[in-house]
Amino acid sequence: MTLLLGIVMLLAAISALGVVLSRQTLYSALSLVVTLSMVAVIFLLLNAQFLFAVQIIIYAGAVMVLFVFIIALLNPEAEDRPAFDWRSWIGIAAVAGITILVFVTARNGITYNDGGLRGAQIGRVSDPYHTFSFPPDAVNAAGNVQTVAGQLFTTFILPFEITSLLLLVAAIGAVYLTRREHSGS
Amino acid sequence: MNRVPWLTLMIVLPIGGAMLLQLVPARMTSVIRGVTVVFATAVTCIAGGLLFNLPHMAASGTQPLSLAFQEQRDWIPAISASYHLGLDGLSGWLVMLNSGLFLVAALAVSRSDAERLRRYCALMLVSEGAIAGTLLAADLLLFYLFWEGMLIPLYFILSGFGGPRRGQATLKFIVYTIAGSLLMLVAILWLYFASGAHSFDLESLIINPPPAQSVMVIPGINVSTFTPQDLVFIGFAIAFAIKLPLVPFHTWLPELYVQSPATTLVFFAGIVGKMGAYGFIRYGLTLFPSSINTFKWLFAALAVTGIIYGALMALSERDIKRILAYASLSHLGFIALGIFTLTTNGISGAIIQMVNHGIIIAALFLIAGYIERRTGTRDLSEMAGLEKRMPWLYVLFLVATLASLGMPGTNSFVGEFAVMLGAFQLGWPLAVVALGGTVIACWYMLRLHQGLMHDPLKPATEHVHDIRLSEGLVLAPLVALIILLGVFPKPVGDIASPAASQYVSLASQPVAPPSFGT
Amino acid sequence: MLAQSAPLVPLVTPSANDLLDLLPELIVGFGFIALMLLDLVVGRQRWWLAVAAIVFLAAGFGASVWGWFDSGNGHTLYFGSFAYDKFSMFINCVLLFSSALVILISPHYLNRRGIHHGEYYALILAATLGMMLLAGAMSLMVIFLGIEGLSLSLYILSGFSRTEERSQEAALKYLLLGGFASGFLLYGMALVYGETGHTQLQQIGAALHSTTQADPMLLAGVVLIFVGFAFKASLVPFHTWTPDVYQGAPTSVTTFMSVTTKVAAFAVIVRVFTYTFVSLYSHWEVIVAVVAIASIVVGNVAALTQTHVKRMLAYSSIAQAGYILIGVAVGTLSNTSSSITGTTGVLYYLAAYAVTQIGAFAVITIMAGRGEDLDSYDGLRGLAYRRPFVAAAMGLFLLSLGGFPPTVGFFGKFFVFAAAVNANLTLLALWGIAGSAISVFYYLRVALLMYQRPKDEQQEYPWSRTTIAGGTALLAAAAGTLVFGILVAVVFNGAQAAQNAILPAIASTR
Repeated sequence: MTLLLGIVMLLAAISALGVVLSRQTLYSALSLVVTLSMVAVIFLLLNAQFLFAVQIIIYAGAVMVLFVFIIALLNPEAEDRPAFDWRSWIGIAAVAGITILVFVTARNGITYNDGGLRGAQIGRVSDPYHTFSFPPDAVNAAGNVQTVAGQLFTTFILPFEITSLLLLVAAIGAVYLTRREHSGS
Repeated sequence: MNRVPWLTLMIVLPIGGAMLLQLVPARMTSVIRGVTVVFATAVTCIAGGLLFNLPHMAASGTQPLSLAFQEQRDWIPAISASYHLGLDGLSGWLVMLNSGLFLVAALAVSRSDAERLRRYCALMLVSEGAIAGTLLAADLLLFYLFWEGMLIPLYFILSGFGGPRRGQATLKFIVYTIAGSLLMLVAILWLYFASGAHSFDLESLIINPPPAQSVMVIPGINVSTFTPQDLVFIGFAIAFAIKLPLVPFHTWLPELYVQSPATTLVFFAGIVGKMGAYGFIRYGLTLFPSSINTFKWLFAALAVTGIIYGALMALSERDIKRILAYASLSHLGFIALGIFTLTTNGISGAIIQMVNHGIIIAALFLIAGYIERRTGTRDLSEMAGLEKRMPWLYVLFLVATLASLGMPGTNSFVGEFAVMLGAFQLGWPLAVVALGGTVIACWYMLRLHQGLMHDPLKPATEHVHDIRLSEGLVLAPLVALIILLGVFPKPVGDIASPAASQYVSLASQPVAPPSFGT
Repeated sequence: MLAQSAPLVPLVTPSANDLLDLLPELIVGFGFIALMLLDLVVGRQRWWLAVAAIVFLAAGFGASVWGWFDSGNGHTLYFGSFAYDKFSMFINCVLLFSSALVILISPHYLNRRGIHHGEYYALILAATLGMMLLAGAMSLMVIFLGIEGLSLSLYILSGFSRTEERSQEAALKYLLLGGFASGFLLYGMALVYGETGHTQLQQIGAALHSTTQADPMLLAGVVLIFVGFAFKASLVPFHTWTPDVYQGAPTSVTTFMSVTTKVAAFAVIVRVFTYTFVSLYSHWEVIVAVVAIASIVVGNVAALTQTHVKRMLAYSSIAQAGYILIGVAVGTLSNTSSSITGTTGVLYYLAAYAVTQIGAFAVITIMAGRGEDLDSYDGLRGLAYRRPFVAAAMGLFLLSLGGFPPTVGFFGKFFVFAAAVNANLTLLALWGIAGSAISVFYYLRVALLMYQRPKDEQQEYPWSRTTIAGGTALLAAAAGTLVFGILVAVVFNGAQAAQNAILPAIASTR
């Protein structure tokens, strides 16, 4: 299980590098899709099914679709179109294989033992700093969505509300910077 | 005592006068001059009144400095910094000199730059207030405040008025001084924290000196060579030595003096130059009795070097202002030597000499200014025979020249004699070398005087006329004082000697640990 | 879909008192939204927006003053997410005062530059809100959101002049590097969370306190968080954006961000480092001290060679940040019973810096010509002959920045250096002093230029007229600079009280 997590993390990191290093914008965007999906998979492997779904729907789905649309709109040249060769196929096969593996394991329940990667150690009792309050079993029992919602509207209500203001600022900024000057105003 | 805060008045009055000046339209030059003179006179009267009513108070355990007319108010109570002013025999004379010289400067201020007269007068008054504050403060933080705050008006005066290269000369002076002052700031802070008193008050710091084994960590400096007190003393000493200036720190002085107009030099050379010496006596001697004994040979040697170096440089120059600048450096060396003899004679000589030198150098620079304005040159080789054209100036200049070289019967003789006595007590070789300085002084001063006054006229001096009555009236009191204090030095000595012996006693015996709790 | 068992955390609703204690932030937040709506009503009379903004800021200021007296020893709001203590109220007051001054000088400037849009005021308030949130943040989440809130607004504000390439470039540069910094910050927060299992500062502090050893991952997190903050406070080596953005952005925006961003950033640095990571002091002390020295040296040396006041002030602000950081590097160390500590010094310095720096930039803003800033050194020559009072005020601000008594700038440096000496970090104080001595060169150079005769007496001078609002702002800044330099005790006692009541309280073993 820890090994699987490690592979997914590695994939996320490699595809993130791909975003920065590839010369064609469309490749960058597609690499970003892979990165975001892999992050989603990490959520899944950490027993955070709700966050997994949110990540897939919002980032890998909605945000990326917009990205790709815009790139296609601005950059219709032929050379930017992705050309599939054998390397791409290997990549796609690897991602698909890992995803299937993840879903299979997730279906069968995910548990970690104490050894292994540091990222998997969260919640270990022997860790001197740790006073961890969300053991996986308890979260699963209470329900993922309920736990997140309960936290969001109690402990983290203030950050949650601030976020809404932040979105408003961003919206104003986007409108202001792209608005056309009215004649006379 | 009476309830009028006289000391505060001496600080606030000139600054208030400067603000009042801002209300006067800039073109009403005579009103501006009038207001300036009135305020300067008022302060002079206060200073004189306080000086001659200065009570002779014996130092006590809690008041080692025996300050009179004290004023004390809370300022920053959380760190026990207070607004604490006081006057003693040392600061009394310097305050008197301060106000007197500013009055002279206010009278002598030039009409030629009418447009900026208001700014000049205002800055002058602010400087006077700040210098008075420096002299009166009995709290280290307050002292520092005035010490560095005084640079602001001085900067604008020095950089705004004078010769073409004044900007660079001023910047050199300011940066030099600031660097030294900031070192002193760290030293003050260390004293504050190391002393048991946790106070910036000078007297409580004298009573509660930092313990000898107090820690000071500066990586890279082997603290064991010196005690922490020594390092802190060096912080203070560099600041004072730059301001005085002692010889390795003097490089800002000649160019700045050359670039500044005579009016500025009246108070700049006259009183600002004394602040370093004042600091050494007031703070060096009282706060670091052991360190100053460790370093007195070094500083006395530097002072003597300054005497000889200044004298030789004065001898080699042809620019009259430059000659006077180096002469001034040489004379300041005498003052410093007097201080570092750590004897009553030496220090009272230094105090007297501070006053005398202030009067003499003010008169000399004024005369140099008058000559330069009339002949259009400062080059000694282009001028000669002025006695034929300027008989009045000749007389006044003669007296100032004789005073400058320490002729008996002029005020300077008394001071230099006392300093020499002190120097002999410290060690005869130093005194002998310093005496050599006075010999050279005769040489360069007479060379200056003869070169300017005697011999046939030269083209530059052909058509000059004598000083006007108003100019003579500015010079006359200074020259009268030179003679008066020369034949009747008792009033200065009466106040300076007790103060000197008091500072000597503070410096010679490290104060016993306090027997009362704090 | 129904929950079979009870939720993990019992659902506690936050109390109404929490909302009430958040009053200053609520007022400013409400003002932000209200200004957007007002913009639709006022039409071309946009100066009404400025009036409204000042009303909201003043109300927020009043609420903060009330909070100062009401908060007592301080407590947290919203389950430990936010602090209600004198420290945050002190910072709030400084921030709101600065913002109000900026609003005062803005309308005239924006009109002259032809960029007077209603969003400006709303965004200023939004940025102020973000900074206030940062000042009171007690949770890594709120810290991050506060930083993002102020940054987002400032990205837009620095690009506010949409037709001007330099302004756009400044905005883009700020955005890219700011996003980079946010990444560092988040990474660090994630590591700290991973190690301690908490996002609330109090619990992080308690968790850290219970151990003596420090994990490398934890230290990496601490360093990354510091990097994130250092970007916002423009500390060397994360300062490279500062001069370009300060010069490119509209001057009123530069005024705003050069002051308030630093105040907010240092507030959060103090709360997180000096008080939360207090048990790791020995680990971060060296890093902070080195960054402080580097900022002082680089800022001062680079400022020497500048020929534009905005750039000079940008570099000098880097140096100023270095001085302030000395106060942070001192931490909570104190060798004596003296009341001068690093935090008191930082707070005093921030107040002093705010009032002075606002003044200095306000002069440039007020003097701006039509369509361009006249901030070259040559452009200032002879200012004293045309605008004696503005020049005198500018001289005062420059002297205060240079640390001359009796201005407030001197006491800022004084208290910070005093704290360093008190903690036996005399070497740091000496570095600061070396920097101050250098800084005298360039501050006095500008001061002198203003008092030199203009090159051509008859020349038409381009400086704008001083409006009543601008004059008021200058007068307020000048009065603050001078009065608080003499009546030092007022601000100092405030800073001390704020320091004594700061949350999270220092762990007892230190």
